This record gives sequence, structure tokens and C-alpha cells, in this order.
Amino acid sequence: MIANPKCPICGKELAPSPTARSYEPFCSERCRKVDLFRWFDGKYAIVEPLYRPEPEEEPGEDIEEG
Amino acid sequence: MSAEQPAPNDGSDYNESHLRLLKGIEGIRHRPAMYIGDTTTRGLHHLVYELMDNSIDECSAGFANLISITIHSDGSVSCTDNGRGIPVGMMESEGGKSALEVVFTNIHAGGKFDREGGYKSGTGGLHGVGIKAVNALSEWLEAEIRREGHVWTMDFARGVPTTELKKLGRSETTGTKVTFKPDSEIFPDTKFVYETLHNRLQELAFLNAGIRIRLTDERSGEQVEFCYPEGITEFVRHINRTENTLYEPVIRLAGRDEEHNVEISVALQHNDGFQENVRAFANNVNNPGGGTHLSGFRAALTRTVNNYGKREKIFDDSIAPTGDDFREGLVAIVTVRVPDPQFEGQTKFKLGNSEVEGAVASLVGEQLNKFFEENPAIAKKICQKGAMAAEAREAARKSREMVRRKGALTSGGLPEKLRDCRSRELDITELYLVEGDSAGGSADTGRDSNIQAILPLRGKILNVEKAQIVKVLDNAEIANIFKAVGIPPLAEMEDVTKRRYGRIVLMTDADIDGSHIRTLLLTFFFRHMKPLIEHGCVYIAQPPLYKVTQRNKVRYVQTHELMMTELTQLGLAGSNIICDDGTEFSGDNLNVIVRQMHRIEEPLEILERRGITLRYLLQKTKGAAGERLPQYRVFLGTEEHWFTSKEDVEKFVSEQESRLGHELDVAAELEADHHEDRLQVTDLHEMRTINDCLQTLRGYGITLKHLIPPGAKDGETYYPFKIVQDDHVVRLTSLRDLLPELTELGKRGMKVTRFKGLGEMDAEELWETSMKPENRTLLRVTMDDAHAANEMFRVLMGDQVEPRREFIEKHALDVKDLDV
Repeated sequence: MIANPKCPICGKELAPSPTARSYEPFCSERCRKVDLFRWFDGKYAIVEPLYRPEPEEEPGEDIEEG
Repeated sequence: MSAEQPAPNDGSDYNESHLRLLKGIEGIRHRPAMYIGDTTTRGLHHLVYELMDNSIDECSAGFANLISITIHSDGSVSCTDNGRGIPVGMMESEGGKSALEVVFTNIHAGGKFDREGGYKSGTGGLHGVGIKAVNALSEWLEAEIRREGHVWTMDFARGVPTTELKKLGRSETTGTKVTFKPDSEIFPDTKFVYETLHNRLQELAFLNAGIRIRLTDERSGEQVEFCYPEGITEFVRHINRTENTLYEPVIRLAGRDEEHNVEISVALQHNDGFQENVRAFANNVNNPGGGTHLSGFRAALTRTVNNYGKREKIFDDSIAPTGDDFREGLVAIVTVRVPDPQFEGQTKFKLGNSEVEGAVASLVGEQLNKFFEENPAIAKKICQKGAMAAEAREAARKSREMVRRKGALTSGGLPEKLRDCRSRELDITELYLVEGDSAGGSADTGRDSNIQAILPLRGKILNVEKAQIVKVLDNAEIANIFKAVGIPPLAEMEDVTKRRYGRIVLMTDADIDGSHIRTLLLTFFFRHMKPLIEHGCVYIAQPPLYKVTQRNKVRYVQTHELMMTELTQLGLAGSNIICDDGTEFSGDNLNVIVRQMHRIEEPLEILERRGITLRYLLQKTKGAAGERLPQYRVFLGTEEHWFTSKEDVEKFVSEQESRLGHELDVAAELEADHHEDRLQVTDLHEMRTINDCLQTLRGYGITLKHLIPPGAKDGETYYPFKIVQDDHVVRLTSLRDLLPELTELGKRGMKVTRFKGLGEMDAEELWETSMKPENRTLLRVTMDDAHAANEMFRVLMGDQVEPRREFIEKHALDVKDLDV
């Protein structure tokens, strides 16, 4: 079975019904707003190591203030 | 007036107690709302709850464990319990009336006022009013008591006894059964609703762990029984049953405040929604208006989560979550038992006891803090949920602000950097979003200014930390995109027709940075201007990567692959390879070898990035050059083994297990170091392709060792192969140099320039290759592309280590390709 896509903000699984998908890829207007302001606040960055990542690389440090 | 000559209904039987009774009943019937809230359906059902409160009190005190409610076909309701039964003895103080009659008739009299009566603390019935109110508001009411070896009955009508207390017969059991029919003079609608009773009865069963509550509807034959050994924990699970919970288990906090004799029990769990669902109960009675228990709980929750979040640095200075933020998605049941509850009104809307607030706050604070210390993962989730809520609140506030300051992002002029076009016809106009100011300049000069508008974008590349490149879309650019496209942020999705240009074209560099900026832009469009993509208005320009000049003729090559194929073909034309043993390859044979070397290179590089070189493989597999290379690398502790098939691995494992006498521990997938006696199996999928290629190559006498430079011979680099094309000879240390050298040969006689970015093209080149409608190739972005970009963005941003590593490993190849 293919898993339903998840809201990029809160991680909630999106309901399969088309009406619930009107905010896609978000679950709600609220998460859409949160995302918009992350763009405006320059919080979104693509982070890429210059070298091969070390195996013990820590997750969760990827969002940098822009 | 004489008591000896009772003459009912002629008004002559008034005595003092009768007068008081009638006054009391009259009071209730005159103003029922004072006693049961109102006379709507809600008030009607409240009659049942008033009776049940008494039965529940019997259960709480340990004298009963089963309550049964039956809706009869005639619209009356029975409430039965297996408690002690209401006392039936004569009461001297009440003029020789039975206790039963007193309980059902005398306002402000009842067992609850007598602490010696067996009720320890915290009964729900209060004021001694409930059961009398039910009686006064009933057309008729029958009480049936089993007690002291007999069954006793007494009937009432509208609060007044219509029979004496009668002994019906013998009974071994005890209990109380009250049947009543609500008075239609009082209640406009006397129909009991099964669902309503079902819900309240279930709630009572949750609140009183272990009690069995049965509901029967004789009108429909429906019946249900509730019993919850885990009490309010199951209540929370029940409310969360349709939600995704944020963590397991349900958090339970419970204890007793000795000083004020308050018993406290709390169950809570967050789900991933935004609704708060906290229900407060005092002495089993729901208090929809909350009160001191709820405020104590909220205060403690806010304080505890806040302190923890700050202490553990989950909240930074930019986030200031409030109490509301911590209650998003919170499901909680807060129950207290208080000896002398003070409620607002007989419907117990709100709890007023001031001592309860502090008692609940200190118990919840203390126990929740302890829980957080012991369950940091759950604590972190709760804090993060609060931080998210705070962020959302802030976003909503700013969004309102933005709509208010209308000029800022909509009508208030176009971005300064925008080079607009003259036409306003959606059918023909295009907006180019161009990466980099200098490329923007070239595009501006080169464009068709009638239909093409240019907005240069700065994709900022920051080299912030040690080994990381951070790429962001400058925040001012987001506003510029909204302004230029002409769709306001958070616009209704139908607004696509209001866009200022027919097509939006993204033009970024053809390198990896450019592809990242494109991913950012596509993700942004997908998330905030999705209709543009759905309507097929967004395109990607395909600027060429190479410029080839040959005999003064200029042409452009789109991709790296096309360029390499072309160069290889040129390098192959008329070439021979001569090996040191004299073998020669040319023509079709050489083509096959080149194809295989092309196929084998990528998997080889992947292995090398994992630290597995061909030399190492040759050594580990003891020079099994003629056979297949093993695909499975197995570590047992620090001991390394290689196997060609899964069966061999399994055989090895079972041998080791029987040798050691126990099952082997399997190392975590991402574990880096090799723990003692831990089993780590790596399946190197790349080996399939490598073996495949090697097999073909063996047909030409080429083996693994031909892919490894032999090193120096007699102090000089040894070249086992050479390529001969016309009068050119190129020497190779191994066959892996074949392709790069062939492409070098292919470049003879032509000038190949690789554009490092759009900025390296002049205005004419940009126009000719990427903007001139007759020449350019535009890719229309589909929803699938956008989904893919969104996913890729999540990988590049997100915290999934493994997918990102795979992604980067894959792209690291591209990066390397760039250096040709």
C-alpha cells in the first residue's frame, strides 16, 4: 500500500479524500501559513555538506536561520 | 384540622410538615430551572443523572458495583443499583415518616449531610435536592427498595406520596430502583434520547473504574453495558481513538492532598490535531464551565512544559508559547473528589472550591515534571508541539497584518528589479525568473521586451559552517515573486486568472546549485501558487551546458550526457586499443568495451565512496579475479567476511550461532563501529552491475586487475594500455582511464566551453539558446514534477539522514562530472 503523503509542517498524514487535499501539500490553512512565513523569514535553506557526510551526522540541524 | 380523620383532597389535611412539603414541591415546580438547569431535553435527561448520582455515590463508597438504566416503552425510566437501598425506618424527628419518604420529599434532607452514613467524601449529590426535584417534576414515581430482607415500595405523584410505604415480600438482595415518568406539564418534550443517555452513562463508567453501567432501551431493544477497569486512561484513549496520538502511553497523574482532603486523578495525551479537549469533573459530575480544578491543571501544565522547554533549549528566544499553545491537540480528563464541593447552580456548571486550585496545580506540576524527566522523548514532543502552535499563532497574526497593509504585497507597485514587458495579454506574455543578477542583466538585454518580463532572483549561497553549503532564497525575493506574478499570498485558489503573465519560466544555472535553486522555487510555487502549476503555467527553461566551436561554427549542447556521448564517439572514430600483451581492440569490440566501462564506472565509484576500492576487493577475495565478486559484506565484531549469495550468509550465521550457542545480535543499520560479536550485513547492490560488466569483459580477456593501475615498474609509471588514433597515441594506466581519454581525443579540433552558469552567457547567447521562442526548449512543469521537487526539498531540508545521504551520493557524481 502506498502511504499517504504527509504535511511538511506538522507531519500529519493527509487524508486521501480530494476535499481534504485542497491545502495540499499541507493538512490545513494553518500549516500553509506557517510554511509561508518560514519562506518570508528566510528559514528555508538547502543544506549540503561540502564533503561526504560523516556516518554520525546529526539529524535536525538542517534548518538554519537565513 | 384533625389527623385522625384523614380526608384527602378536601384541603383539610394541612399540617406543618405537609405545608412545608407542598411549599417545597411548589417551589421546584414553579421554578424547575433552579434545580435542573432548564426544562428542555437537557433538563429532562438531567433527571436521570440526578438519580444516577446517588447510585454512583453508592458505588464510590464501595456498596454497589452495578447500575442499570432502562427506558421503558411508556416513556418512563428506571434507575437501579445493587447498593444498600435507601433506609426505610421510621424517623421520629420527621413526625414518624419513613426515611424513604423523607428522602423523596423533604427538601434539604438526605443521607449526604450525615458523614456517618457511610459516604467517605466527595459525593456528587448535593444540597439534598436532586432526588426530590426528580420526584416533584415527575407525573408519577415509584421507589422500590430491597433492604433488610424485604422489598419495600412507595409511590408518588408530582412529589406527593400516593401510597404508604409497603412491604412487598422477601428479598435476599439489596438495592434501590426508582422508576419515574417526567411530567409533561413541566417538560414540553418528555422523550428520552438513547444516544444522550448512552454518552453520559459511558462517561460515568470511564470516571468510575470498574463499575458496570448498563443501559436498556425497551422501545428499540437496544442494550449496552460499560465497564472500564482502567478508568480515565480509557476515557482519553476513547476520545483519541479517531486521532493520531503524539505519543504513548496516556500520562497518568494521581494523588491526594491530605490537608484539604482532595483526591486528584488526571489522564492526558496529545494528538496531532489542534483542538483542545480537556474535561473537568468534580465528584463525578462534569463541569462544563471548568472551575478551580481546571485552572489549577492548566496553570501547572503551562508552567511545567515551559520550564522544561527552556531548560532543555527546545524553545529559543524567538518562540514564546502561551498556555493555549501547549493545549493544542491535548486530550485530558481532570477529576477531583472534594468533601464539600461548591458548584455554581444545581447543574454543577463550574467548581468553585478555591483550595482545589492549589492542590491540583502542585500535584500536577510535581508529577508531570517527574514524568518529563523520566520520558524526555515524550516531553520533547509536547514542547515541540507547543512551539509549532506558537509559530502558527504568530503566522496567523502576521498574515492578518499583511492583508491589512494591502499595499505591501499586492497593489503597491511592482518590484524594483522587475523588467516588465509592454504587452498585457496573458496569451503571449512570459515572466522569466532568472537566477543571478548578472544573468538577469543579460536576459534583460537579450529579451523580446514586448512579451518577456525579467525578474532576477538572488539565490544566496552561504558558506556558513565548517563543511556545509547553505543555499537560501533571499527573503525579499519571496515578496518580489508574489508582487511580480500578481497573486497575493494566501490568495484564494481561483485567482490564477489574475496573474500578470501567461507563463512563468524558471531559468537557473544548469549546475547543481542551479538545480537546488530550481527545487526551492518549484517547491515554493507548489506550496503557495499551486493553481499555476495545475493550470500548466509554470515552465523550466533549458539553457545549454556546452558551447562547441568548430571551424568558426558555433553550436550548443544541452546536457552533459549528450556532450560526453558525442565526444566519446569522436574519440572512438578510427581508434585502436593496444594492450601490453599485444592484444588489439577496435571497431565493434571496442564499442562493447567502452559501453561496459561506462556502465561499470558509477557503481565502482559508489563502492569507493564507501571505502571499498578494487584493490581492497582483490585482496579480500583472494584474487578471485576470474569469478564473481562477492555482494555481501559481513562483519562479526571486527572480523570481516565476504559472501556471494544470501544463502551463504545465512549458512555462515547459523554456523556461528551454533558455535556460540546463542543468537547473534544484529547491529543497528546505521551503526558505524563494529561492536564485539555484533553481526552487520551489508548488501552491496552495486556489485550486480559490476559482476555483470565484468562477465562481458572477461569474454574479451579483460579482468578486474586490468581496471587497477599496476603502479610503478622500474621506477617509472607503467602503462599497460594505449589508444592509437591516427598519429595520436595516449597511454593508460588502467582501463578506467579509457573513457576520459577518449573524450579528450574527441575534443581535438574543437573548442568546448562549459558554461559555469547563466552569467557566463552574453545577452545574445542567452536569447538564442534559452529565450528565443523558435530555438528554446521549455519544459512544462507538471504536478508530478512539483511533487517530486517538494519531496526532494524535504529530503534536502529534512531530518531523514539516510535518504539525504543517498541523494547526495547520487549527486556527488554529478558534481564530479562538472569538472570535465
